Amino acid sequence: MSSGKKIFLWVTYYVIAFVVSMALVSIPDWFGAEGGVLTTEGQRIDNLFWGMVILSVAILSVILATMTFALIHFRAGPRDTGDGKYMHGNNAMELGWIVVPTIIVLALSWISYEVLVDNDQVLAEGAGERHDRGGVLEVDVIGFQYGWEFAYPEVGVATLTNYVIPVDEPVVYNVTARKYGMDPDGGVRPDVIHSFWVPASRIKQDGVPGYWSARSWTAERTGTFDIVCAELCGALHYQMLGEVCVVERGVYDAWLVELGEATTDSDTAGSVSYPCSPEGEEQTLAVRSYQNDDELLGIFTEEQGLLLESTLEASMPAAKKDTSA
Amino acid sequence: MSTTTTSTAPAARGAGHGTPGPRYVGGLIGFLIGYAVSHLLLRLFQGWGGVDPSYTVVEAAGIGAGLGPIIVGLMGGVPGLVAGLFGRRVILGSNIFAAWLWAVVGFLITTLIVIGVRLAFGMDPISLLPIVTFGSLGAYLGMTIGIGALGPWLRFLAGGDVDLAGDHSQHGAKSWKDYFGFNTDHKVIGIQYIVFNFMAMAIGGMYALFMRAELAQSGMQFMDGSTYNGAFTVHGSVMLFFWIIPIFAGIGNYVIPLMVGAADMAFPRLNGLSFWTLVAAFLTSVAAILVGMYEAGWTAYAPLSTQSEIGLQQLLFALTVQFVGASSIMTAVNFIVTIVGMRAPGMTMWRMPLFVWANLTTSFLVVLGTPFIGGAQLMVLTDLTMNTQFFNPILGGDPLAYQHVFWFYSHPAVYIMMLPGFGIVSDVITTHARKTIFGYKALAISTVAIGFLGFAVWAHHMFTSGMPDWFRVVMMFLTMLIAVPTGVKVLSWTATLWQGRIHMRTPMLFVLGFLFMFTVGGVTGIMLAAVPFTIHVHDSYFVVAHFHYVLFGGSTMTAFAGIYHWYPKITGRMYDERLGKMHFWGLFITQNLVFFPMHWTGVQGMVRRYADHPERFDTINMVMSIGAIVMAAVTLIFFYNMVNSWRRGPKATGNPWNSHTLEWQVSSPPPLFNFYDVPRVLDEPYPFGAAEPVHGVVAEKGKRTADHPILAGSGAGTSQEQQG
Ligand code: HEM
Ligand SMILES: [Cu+2]
Ligand SMILES: [Cu+2]
Repeated sequence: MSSGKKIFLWVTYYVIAFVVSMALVSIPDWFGAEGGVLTTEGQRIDNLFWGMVILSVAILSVILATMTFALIHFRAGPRDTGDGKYMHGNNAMELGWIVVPTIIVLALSWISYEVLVDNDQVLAEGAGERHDRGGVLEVDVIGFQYGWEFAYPEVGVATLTNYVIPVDEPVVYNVTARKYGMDPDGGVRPDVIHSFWVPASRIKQDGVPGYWSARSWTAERTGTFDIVCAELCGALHYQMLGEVCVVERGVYDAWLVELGEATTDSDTAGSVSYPCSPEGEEQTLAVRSYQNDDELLGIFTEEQGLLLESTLEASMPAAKKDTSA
Repeated sequence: MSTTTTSTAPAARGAGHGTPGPRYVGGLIGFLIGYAVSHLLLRLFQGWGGVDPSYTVVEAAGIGAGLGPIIVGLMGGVPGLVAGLFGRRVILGSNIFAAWLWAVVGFLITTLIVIGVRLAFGMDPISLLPIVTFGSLGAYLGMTIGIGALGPWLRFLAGGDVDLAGDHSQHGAKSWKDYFGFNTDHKVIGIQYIVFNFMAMAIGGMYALFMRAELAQSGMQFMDGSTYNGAFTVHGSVMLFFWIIPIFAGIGNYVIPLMVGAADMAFPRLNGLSFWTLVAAFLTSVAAILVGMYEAGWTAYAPLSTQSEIGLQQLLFALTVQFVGASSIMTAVNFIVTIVGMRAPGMTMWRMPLFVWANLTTSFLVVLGTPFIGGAQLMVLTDLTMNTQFFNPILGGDPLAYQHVFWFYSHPAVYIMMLPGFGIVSDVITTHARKTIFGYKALAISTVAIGFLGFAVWAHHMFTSGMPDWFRVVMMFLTMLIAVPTGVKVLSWTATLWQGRIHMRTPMLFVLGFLFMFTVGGVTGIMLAAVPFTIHVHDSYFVVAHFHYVLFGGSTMTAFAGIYHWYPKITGRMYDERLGKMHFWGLFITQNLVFFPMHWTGVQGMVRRYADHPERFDTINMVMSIGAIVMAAVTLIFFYNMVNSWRRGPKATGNPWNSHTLEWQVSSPPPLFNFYDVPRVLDEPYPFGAAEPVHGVVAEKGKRTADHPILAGSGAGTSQEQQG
């Protein structure tokens, strides 16, 4: 076979492999869930994903085309005992497939880095510290076994499970997990790591007890979107679900006023209306007050009210390990 | 089988071993004594210090409170029965009964010591976690003594006149029974490993089926959250610790000494000990499953793993990791010394088969990395038992520290799970394509490069954990770079096919399947290295898809390729080619059916480690579950083929694939000490198509290597040495 014909055949196989694989990966609706991407940041991530998919298929097709070629043209006959061509490699080729992939992955890293910088713009521009980001709306997200709390530092009140944000505005999430948890017998133990993920936003952030980590995103549509916990946190991990309710600015403002008035007493729970209630149903959100981190990190129970960090710390070492005492 | 086989059986016949009558009486008495003693001890523990009777050493033995007395009784009673039946032969006989017996004894003795010490220091004498911790170590020591692993070492320590280097008393198997005892022959140990690992794979696979059954539909079918957590934790840990890591140790054990032309591994007794340490790890793991399954994931992140709710299981898990780690390190040291120090004359580094290169690099990764997972789990262990609070955020501990230490091992570990497979691919592809490997040096060096880079990218598993932003960027660039040496390998293998004469036998099919699956897993690896994208899909089913493509489609397929490739060598018989092909196609298709859709569900928001999923994923999950069932059925074909061919398959010649590496130059299976004389290596390992294709020469039975026509003829083959 002439080398011209070989090249022609290889290219043909490559094109077939590329087209077929591309068609196969295009069948699923990759980002269609919940009506598609919710955020500006997420849109950049979806674009990056598609770029990488095409790149991946292009790489895979090199292997597929070469394999197909070899399996068609270099098959041994049934009684063939001979050997293939005696050769040890090809330096130019080997250099090529070191240099080209290096360039590709460095370029891809660079593009990813750009996306990362773009997506973290709000964080970079804010004054930088938690609760001091130049007027951007902030929500503190606190995971615990098993649920989510969303605190609005502006008004000093936190909601349980679901939360409300305005559309078309960047929101910064300060994510952590409670330090104190309660074991099934009512004893005190450390809480664990959780991870705050709204799949429609394409952004997630772990909440680690003792750490505050920030992420931000801007919702572009109103509606409700799932919240899940993406870090294994125990038996009811799979039930750590919630809902983010994105509403128009006006609705949000009215809701925030209601939230601010819902409770001032840190020892009792209150409730507010939920703007994303299904048609014809009046749902409410459980809320409680918190004024500073001390309260935030304590345990809140309906029977006992708020147990502050200082109280808990005193009872901690003894309570932790009654089994090994 | 035992140290005393040569000194004739009659001497070993103990009391009550004469006529059947007294023997059964002896057995019965033994049973009663064992049962009574165990019960007494149990009662003693339960009554002591006002401890809640349902929460005592009963649970340490791995049993719920009700069954406890019976099972603890049987623990003592059954060894008693066997001891009574067979007398001294069992008690001191270096076999699994003795191992069991002495493990129980070891456990009880250490328990008594713990209780004694606690009494002496005025503490409550009965405490579960310390008893389990130290008891397991005691049981391990007892077991290794009982199985006869330490015999000569102990005699040596006691001042006996023991020739440790020339000790071959436990070398080689004469009947199938010898595979259940301690052995120092790398070929026997290799088979022990391989069979044991396949059993573990079957168990791990069963848990996967449980999960798929639960996930087939949305809503909870028949599990609760913690059962499901237990299922994936057990599945993952068993597959990693008892299947994929040790299967390569098993194949390597059999093949490496043969490939480098050595009579055995460098430290044969240590080699046997690593296998039995793995068994101890497995039993510890089973104990953990019995007390309620460890359920913090195979990653066992703190502080979840240090929460008291899952304390006992997690403690046993931490101990499992210690045993597994010890076993890995012992094997790795053995491989390193064997490969570096025991190669046949003429086998320079650049003449080593690529499987040997891969094993060498892997072994270094094991030795350097494993202490970190051991360390991470040791801290969990002390957090659980000694209130050290390394990871307790309330008292100033740092949960993220666990992840850093853990991944510093566990990223290199993914290469520990893959590099030996790369080596197998190189050997199989060159043999069945009948062509010199393309870019031998590039393949060898890229293996080493992956090993080095592998230590610099651990934090790519923590992109969403909240570490500093600059660090994420550094980790992203380094992780992406790993794709380069990996790509070199994939491309070199593909290029090897070019102008070869490809025989589509089963091992080759598995390697070609591997090339496809691994490339898919590799490109999704690159996607995951892109931080913005990982922030979306981390801990989603996309990651599950990625690592099943690399671990199942990649590593496991290479393990199958290796098993088929060396099956004739190991068993002396040919496997059934038709069944092998059925196995391949069935597995290849179902793998893609089960794992490809996971990419999609992950991107759509299906969360990893969730016992449930939204209804919108119902159809696709049903498809994946059905695929999983078919896959299990296909695996049965494999088991049938292996077992049946071993018994009835056609006899294999020494070199059925016409290969050149040393292991194929001897009979199948090889002679007791592999070679009749030290082989000579003359040239490159894969000289397919060369004018005079010779890698090395070995001696015929009763002759010396120097008598070989090639050496005797032409001045020891120096003319060939220039060629490579
Ligand atoms: C081209 C080379 C590879 C790259 C760039 C790569 C990249 C990654 C990245 C970035 C993650 C973290 C994903 C996340 O949690 O968000 C990951 C996870 C994982 N990878 Fe790879 N990978 C590669 C090859 C492999 C190989 C060869 C194996 C094993 C044989 C492997 C096994 C795994 C496993 C087991 C996980 C999941 C760990 C866990 O969280 O439990 N990867 N990989
Ligand atoms: Cu969770
Ligand atoms: Cu990794």
